[in-house]
Amino acid sequence: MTFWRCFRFDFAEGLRTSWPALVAIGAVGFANSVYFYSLLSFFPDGCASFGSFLVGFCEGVTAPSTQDLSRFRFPVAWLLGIALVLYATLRFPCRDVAGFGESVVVRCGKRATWWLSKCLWVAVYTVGCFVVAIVAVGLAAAVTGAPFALTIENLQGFAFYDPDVVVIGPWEPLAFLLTYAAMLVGLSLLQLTLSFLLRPSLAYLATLSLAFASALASSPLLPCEYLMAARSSLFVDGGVDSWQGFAFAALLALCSLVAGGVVFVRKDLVDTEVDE
Amino acid sequence: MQVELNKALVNRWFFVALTIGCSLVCASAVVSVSNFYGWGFGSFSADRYYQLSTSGAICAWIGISRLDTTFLPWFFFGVAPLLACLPYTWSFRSELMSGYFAQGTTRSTRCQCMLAKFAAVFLSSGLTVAAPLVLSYLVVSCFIPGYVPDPGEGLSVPIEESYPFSSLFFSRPTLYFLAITSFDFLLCGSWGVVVLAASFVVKNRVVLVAGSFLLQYFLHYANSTFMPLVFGNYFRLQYNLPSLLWPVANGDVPCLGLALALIALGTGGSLAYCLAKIRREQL
Repeated sequence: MTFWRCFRFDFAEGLRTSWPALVAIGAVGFANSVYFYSLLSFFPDGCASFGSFLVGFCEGVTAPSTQDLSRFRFPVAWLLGIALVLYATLRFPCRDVAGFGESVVVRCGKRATWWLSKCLWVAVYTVGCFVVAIVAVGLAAAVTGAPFALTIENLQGFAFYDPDVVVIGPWEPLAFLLTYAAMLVGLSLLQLTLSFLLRPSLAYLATLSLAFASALASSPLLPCEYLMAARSSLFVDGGVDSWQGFAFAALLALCSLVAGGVVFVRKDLVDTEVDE
Repeated sequence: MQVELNKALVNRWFFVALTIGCSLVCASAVVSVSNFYGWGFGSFSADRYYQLSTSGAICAWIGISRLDTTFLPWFFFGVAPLLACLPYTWSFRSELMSGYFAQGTTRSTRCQCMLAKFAAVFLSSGLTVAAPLVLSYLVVSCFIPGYVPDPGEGLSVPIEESYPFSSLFFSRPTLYFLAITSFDFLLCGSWGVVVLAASFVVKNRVVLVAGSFLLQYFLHYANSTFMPLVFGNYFRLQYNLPSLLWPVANGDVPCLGLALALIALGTGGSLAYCLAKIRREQL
C-alpha cells in the first residue's frame, strides 16, 4: 500500500469520523465574530475589516500582571478555538490503529508509512479546521458589511487595545495568521505523539495545559504565546515575533514527527483497545 | 458497592488525576507560603496581630489565593472539569463493551449494579477536586496563622458580602473552607454522574471525557459573551463548572440556591435516566 493510498484512506475515514468538530469550529468562529461586531457598536470610530474579524477570533489576552491577578479575565473564546482544533484531531489516529486499522498498518508494509500518513492527515485536518474558521468568520464579516481586506485600520474593540502599548498602524496580520496555522499544526502533531506515548485523554490534557499556561503566564518558550494577537509584536510593543513563532512551530512539528515515529515503530499494537 | 468503590478509588486514572491536582495545589501553597514570609508578614509575631487579617491561612488557601501571584490556581480550577471526569466516568461504557457489566448483573440486579456505579462515579469525581482543596488548606495552615478576615480591611478583602457563604468567611474561616469544599465536591460529583449518564449515548470514552470538558467551556464562552449581551451585565449567568468552582476569580457571584438546584437536578436527573435506561439496555 503506497503512502498516498494510505493518506487517501485516512483523509476519507478521518473526515467521516471527525466532521462534527469542523462544524463546531465554524459555529464558534461565526458566533465569535458576531460578538466582536456587537462590541464594535460601543466605539463610534470602530470600523472593522475582514482582517479585524479574523484577528478577533485569535485575540487571546495580554499577560496578566502578578500584582493584579484579580482583574484578569480568562480568554475563553480563544481557548475554545484551540481546544476544538486539538479535539478534532485527537480521536481518529489512535482509534485507527485497532481493528480494521491494524490490518491497514500491516498492508502499509512499513510502520513509518502509516505514521507519516497520519501526521500528514493531522496537519491537513488542522489547516482544514483553520480554513473552516476563516470561512465562518468571512461569512460573518460579509453579513455585517465589513470590507474584504486583511489590513486592520483600527484596533478599537479589541480587548488588548491600549494606545500606550499598541504599535502604529495600519496593521497587516498575514504573518500572525500564518504562524497561528503553523503553531496549531505543531501542537496537533505534539498531541498525536503524546497520545501514542501516553493516552489520548492525557495527551489532550497535556496540550491544553500548554494553552492554559500560555494564557496565564508569558514566555516565548510557551507555544501558545504565538497564537495570541494580544501578544504579537505586529500589534503590541514587546510582543513575540511571528516569524520566530513560525520557526518554533516548524521545530515543534519536526521534533514531534521524529519522536512520535520512533515511539510508534516500537509500540506493541497487538490487542490495542478499539475504543481508546 | 464495595467492588465499585474499590475499582473507582484504587484505580490508576484516579491516582493520575489526584496527583495532578495535588501537585498543582502544593505548588500554589508553596508560592503562597513563600510570599507570606517574603512580603514581610511572617517577620511580625503572629500573636501581636500586626499584619493584615486577609493574609491568613484562609486567604492563602487555593480557593481564595490572595497570596498566590502565579497562574497555578487558574490552572487548577481551569482543568478541574477534565480532572473530575478522568478517573471513572468512562467506566460504564468500557465495561458495557467488554461484557464486564453484564457479568455483574448475573450476581445482583441491574439497578443495584447501576446504583453502585453511580455512587462510585459521584464519589471519585467529587474527591478528585475536593481532596486537593483539603490538602491545600492543610499545607497553608501548617505555615500561616489562621486569622479571621476583617471585612473592614477594604481592598485587600478578597470576597464581598454577596458571595456564597461570605458570613462564614468573616466569622468562621474553617467552616467557610468546609462549606466551599463540600460545594465543589457536590458540583464535581454531579458533573461526573451527568457524564456517566451521557455514556449511554456517547460510545467513545475519549469523546466522553474530552467532549464533556469542551461542553463546559462552550457554556463558559456563552455565559461570558452572549449572556451579558442578551441579559445585560447585571444578570450574568455564570453557571458553568470553571466559574462555579472558583467564583472569586471570575467576579460573577452565583446564586447559591440556583447552583444547588442545578446540582440536585443534575444528580437526580442523571440517576433517573441511568435507572430507566439500564432496564432497557441490551447488555
